Amino acid sequence: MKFKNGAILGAVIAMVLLATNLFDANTNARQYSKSYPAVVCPPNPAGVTTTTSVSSKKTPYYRIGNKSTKLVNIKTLRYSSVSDPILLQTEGVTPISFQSRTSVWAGSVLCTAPATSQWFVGGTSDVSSKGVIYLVNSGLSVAIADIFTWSENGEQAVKTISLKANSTVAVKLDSLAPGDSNIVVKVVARSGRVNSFLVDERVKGLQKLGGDSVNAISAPARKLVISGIPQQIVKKKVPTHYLRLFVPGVADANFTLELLSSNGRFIPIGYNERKLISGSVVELKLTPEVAKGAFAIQLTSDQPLVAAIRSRTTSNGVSDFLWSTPSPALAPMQIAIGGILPKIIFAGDAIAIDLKVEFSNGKVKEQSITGSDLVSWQVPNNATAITVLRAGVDNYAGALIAAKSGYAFFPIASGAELTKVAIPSSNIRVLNP
Amino acid sequence: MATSKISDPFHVTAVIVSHDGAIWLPEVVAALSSQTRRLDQIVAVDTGSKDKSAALLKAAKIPVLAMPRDAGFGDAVYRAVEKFPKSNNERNEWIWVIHDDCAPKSDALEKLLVELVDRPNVAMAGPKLLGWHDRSHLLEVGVSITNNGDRWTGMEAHEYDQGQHDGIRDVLSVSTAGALIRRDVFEELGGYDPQLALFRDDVDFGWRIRMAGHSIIVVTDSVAFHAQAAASERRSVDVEGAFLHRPLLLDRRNSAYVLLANSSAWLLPWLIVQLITSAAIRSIGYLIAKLPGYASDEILAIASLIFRPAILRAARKERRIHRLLPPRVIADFIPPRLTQYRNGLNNFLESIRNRIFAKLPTDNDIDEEFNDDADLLTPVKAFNWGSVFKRPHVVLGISLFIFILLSSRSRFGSLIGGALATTPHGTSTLWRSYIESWHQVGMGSSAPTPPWVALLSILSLFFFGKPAVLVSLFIFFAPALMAVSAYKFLKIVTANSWLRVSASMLYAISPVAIASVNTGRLGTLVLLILLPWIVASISSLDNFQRISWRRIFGVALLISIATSFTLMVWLAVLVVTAVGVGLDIRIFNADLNKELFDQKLKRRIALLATPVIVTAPWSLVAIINPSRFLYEPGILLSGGGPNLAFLGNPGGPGALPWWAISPLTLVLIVAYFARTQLRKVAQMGILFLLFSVALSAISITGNGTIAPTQLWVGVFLAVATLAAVTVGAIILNDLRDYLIATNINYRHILSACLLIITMGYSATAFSWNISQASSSPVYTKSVNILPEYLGVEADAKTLVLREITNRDLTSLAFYISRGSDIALGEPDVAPIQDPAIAKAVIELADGSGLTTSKTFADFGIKYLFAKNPIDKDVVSTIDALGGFARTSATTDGIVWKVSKPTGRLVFTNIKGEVTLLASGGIGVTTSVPGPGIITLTENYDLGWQILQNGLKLERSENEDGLPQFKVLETGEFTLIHDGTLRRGALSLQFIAWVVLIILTLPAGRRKREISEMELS
Repeated sequence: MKFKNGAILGAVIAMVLLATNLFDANTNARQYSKSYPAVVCPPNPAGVTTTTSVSSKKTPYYRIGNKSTKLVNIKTLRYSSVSDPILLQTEGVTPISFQSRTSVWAGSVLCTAPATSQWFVGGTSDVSSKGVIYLVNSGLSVAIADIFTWSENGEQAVKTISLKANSTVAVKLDSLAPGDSNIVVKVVARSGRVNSFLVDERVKGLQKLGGDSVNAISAPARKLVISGIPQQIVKKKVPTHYLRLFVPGVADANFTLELLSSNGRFIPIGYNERKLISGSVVELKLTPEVAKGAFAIQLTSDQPLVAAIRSRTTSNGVSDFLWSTPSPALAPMQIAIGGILPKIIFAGDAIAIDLKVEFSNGKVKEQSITGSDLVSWQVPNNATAITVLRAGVDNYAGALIAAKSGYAFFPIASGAELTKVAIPSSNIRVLNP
Repeated sequence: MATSKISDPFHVTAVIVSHDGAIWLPEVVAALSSQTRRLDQIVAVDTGSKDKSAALLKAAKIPVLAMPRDAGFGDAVYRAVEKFPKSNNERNEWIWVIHDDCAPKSDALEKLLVELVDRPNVAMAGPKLLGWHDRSHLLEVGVSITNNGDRWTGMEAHEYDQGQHDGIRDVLSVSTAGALIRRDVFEELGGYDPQLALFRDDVDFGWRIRMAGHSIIVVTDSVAFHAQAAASERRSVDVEGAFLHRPLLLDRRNSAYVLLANSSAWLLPWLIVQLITSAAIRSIGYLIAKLPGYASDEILAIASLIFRPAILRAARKERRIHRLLPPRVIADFIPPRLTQYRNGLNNFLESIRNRIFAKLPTDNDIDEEFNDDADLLTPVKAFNWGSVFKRPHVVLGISLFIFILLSSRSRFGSLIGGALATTPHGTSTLWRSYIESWHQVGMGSSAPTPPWVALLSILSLFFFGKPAVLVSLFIFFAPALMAVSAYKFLKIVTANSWLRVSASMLYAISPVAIASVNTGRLGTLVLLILLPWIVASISSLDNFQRISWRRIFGVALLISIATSFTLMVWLAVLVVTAVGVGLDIRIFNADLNKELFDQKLKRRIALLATPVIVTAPWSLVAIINPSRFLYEPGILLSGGGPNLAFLGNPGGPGALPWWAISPLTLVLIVAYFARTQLRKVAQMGILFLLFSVALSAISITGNGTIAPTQLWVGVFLAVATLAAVTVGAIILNDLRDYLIATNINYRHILSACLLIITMGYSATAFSWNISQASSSPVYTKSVNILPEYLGVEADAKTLVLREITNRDLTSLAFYISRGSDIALGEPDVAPIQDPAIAKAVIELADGSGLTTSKTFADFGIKYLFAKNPIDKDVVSTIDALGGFARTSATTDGIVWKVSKPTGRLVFTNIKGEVTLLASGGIGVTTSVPGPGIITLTENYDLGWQILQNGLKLERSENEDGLPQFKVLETGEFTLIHDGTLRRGALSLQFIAWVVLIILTLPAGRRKREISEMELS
């Protein structure tokens, strides 16, 4: 009898414990919210045509500067801006804005989410400068941004800009470091949703020297890869590229430049463990004797630095320059490239990338890119978006667009990172000390 | 007849009035017969007695006049006076009125007459009245009336006659029992008032005699013994006008009649007020004493007189005819108010003293004679102070005090943390939050405040009106209170003091007790303290029918108090009731005794239903939303899950770690195999333990929290703990002798194991709790969450973002503050945040919320406060998002102001222009500049109303779930939250508690229920 009672009790206890442990609510699991912030595309300067490629006609947008901030569907795959920048709710797809001043220059930039700091390596403050940096506040309150400028003469005075809600402010580059040729600009948003876009336009007297939209760099790094530097060999003459470098820290840097091309990879003479003084902008000439097309460079440094490379190009007889900027390592992402037909330059030790190409007729094609050091791939006609499905370790990419008005470059990078934050929960405990 | 030994000029006729007085009449007749001063005449009037009264009188050869049964006392006397012839000596002819339950001493008449010889102005004299049974009990030495109609004798209750009132004195009146009245005066005044058929006829008559210019004396040498049969309800009251034969009704009616008929006219309004007030107060007193009949008598008596003014007019007219003196001559005989109060207070204190010290030995109890020699031979006992510290109670007290002191070292002062919210400074704040129909918590709530807030408010009155003092002391002394209640309870199971001390100590440091104290879980703490009392009152699930209703309601009161804190207690009662009913059904199937079954069932239903009734409307909300049955008071904190619960540990913050394994489960399992009653207790304990395990797997949300929180099962574990402590004590108590007497066997080993685990647990629990005291979730409040300046704007809402840690996991949380930290009681009514706000905050955190600030403004949220320490990314995201302007950044945190203007009352005119209207508090009166829409940024509720020009504005609910009102014209308006329903519900709740308390109190006895010995 006792044994029977014991057995029953044991069975009941075991059953209850088993059941409760199985159904024990896992309150440890933290819930996350994943979302893409809205991206902002650049304003359209006077005389310039700005068209933005999006992946869907149903992409919600509004014009920054308009009274209404209500998001409406964009209803086109290539949006031509009037003057105002636009805000797009693209849900992870990075739109590309292509800008051109007819027969003078062309450029392209990624539309990006507001950032607390953006670095621009490009532009000049000397007499040739017609460049402008645009600060866009897409928020509903006043934003404050600081513009830090460095040149070959070191750090310049900080310029603090107050931006009204839902507005754009243009700051001329020649006001940032008057007379200086090589500048690096950092825009820090003290408050508000601030995006900045730098347009580097130059003239020499009445001669237009070209221009470009300079893509921003998010932060200085010890390793930078610039993939997609155009190499136009005219009359067998190797073009000169200008590598602009800046070490923002207090310590000088030692960097090594490695060149990746279809001819292989090498370190150009004088670029091995080269010392770079911090605090002032340096521009170095680079004349690599590599095959025409495009190449990439990889900078490794013992101190974080920012860099970009300016190359002179000619398209349809129009002489232009473009700024190739570093790209982050490739990761799954999607870019809208409708109507711009870029050539994408992949760089890396072992390039292994799976892509998905979407076409305007709705078709989808998958493409695998493999190789080593440098691989070029021309985006097929009528493609509206490409998606990086998988990418090898330390694979990088940049895109070159050959347009009638000139060459344009944009890094293959996501304009809006997937934000994963723990979902804040309503809990009255926050009001209890 | 008696022989006359004394000569005097008087002629005395005794008039006996009998009415069912056969019990007392033989002694009365004998007393009259043996008077030392012979009666000149004797006559009896029988008012339709149903017993042998008339026969007895006739047998004593007393002439008996028969009258109807409803004839009044005065009528009977008057009839007798009419019947017997007048003597020649009219001036000295006296009537001696004798009740059938009043026996004068043999010299009573003689002593009376002696005093009359030299007092020609005396028209009435009376003897000293003593009790019938207790003949040293002094009943009356004259009688008067108080301003509120009470009969006034000036005696204390059960006053012992030691001659302290002896002497001859002028009085307002004397009792009709033994009253000697001059016949001519009696006839001149028309005898006793026929309106006063019984009771108060004596006072009235005395009053009239006095007003006619005569005197009345009491002669204490003359003694009569009076049974007060009618007043003490020893016989029915059948006189005409005695509605429902109720003596008290007649008495109260007559007392009012006497006052109103005899007092001067200008005093009448004041007297009426006094009579009504005192009747109401007495009614309440009778209700409390569970004597509703008496209570209704009080009211009916006054009503029956006030609504018949013609009777009073006639009476006053009659009295005016015979009045010779001004009314002020009576004033000397009306007892001063101070004397009345002093007497009442003395009686009250005496009753308490008798209740408390009734069994204290008195000098009379010492039966041993004092013997000087024996005293000298007795060795002098030296008091050994060391022995004090060997007493179990002292050991318990000292060790507990040290434990409490060390483990509470971070809890001196106003407490905060854990489940405890900030305690308000004054009890009025708590009261207000209990009474108000709208609570400004988060976006506002109309949820009923739980009754524990009211209990706390009441109790805090005893602590200088400071709830913080009460809460701090309660948390501090909670282990001691638990130990004391367990110690008292364990008296049922063992007489061994050391065992009781150890067991009660274990109860006080049980895992559930430690966790409850450390986290300030008021509900579980209250239950842990009350549970032993509850179980002690109903110690068995069987024989329920034997438990008195008063005890049932007493237990129901305790359960209701515990249920007022957490409805989980009611769930526990439900479980016990279900088990009990199951047992009842089994017994019923065996013996088919339906009456027994019904009696048990009624009692069980009373126990189950009472807490729900008295805690309504709060409990009724839980019936609609059953998850509320699982809430503890205060902030929702997680428990520890099923595995810890199986070890008797509720887990969660402040709980003992898993390795501090208590012997609770082992003891219950061991006791489960016993064959005695022990097994039933163990079964109940295991049942509750398994319920705890099962429930602890559940996660709940509520009390202002949407994060799933593992259920705290402290209430169920408290029952299991008490069961384990009980069976442990019984096992050790019973086993001790057996273990001593037998060789070592498995019982010795088992007992040793149990003892080792118990001691190990005790040491671990003690040391852990003391060492962790500084990091206890409940601690002395030193800081506020919200900076002071955010509380300056009365109508400003601030969304507070803060990182909180739960089960070692830090996450971002938010809630809307109304300018201050959360206060006690507020979490219990806090609403779950609106989904739109929750979505806006999520978008705020992930940076995608372009319209977050607009959403905040729509809900009237003016400020965003990120409490430090907080993730810098969150701060920079907010900075970058837009719509918020930083207003400050201090070490406390960062404050942003929502850019869009917002407030509590937002007016939008027909052009769409927005104006903020002044608003503070719940209701407000302000003006509106024109037609448009007023939006109130509080949760929508049917109670919200705006009145303009006496009309209610049309109310609707906007897309955000906020109330809005359509304004048609410019002008002043008043915003209110209509709390009529809440007030009605609270009134009913108050009545329910009062009724429950009355049912719990000892019942008053009707006079007929009091033994004669007690009466006199």
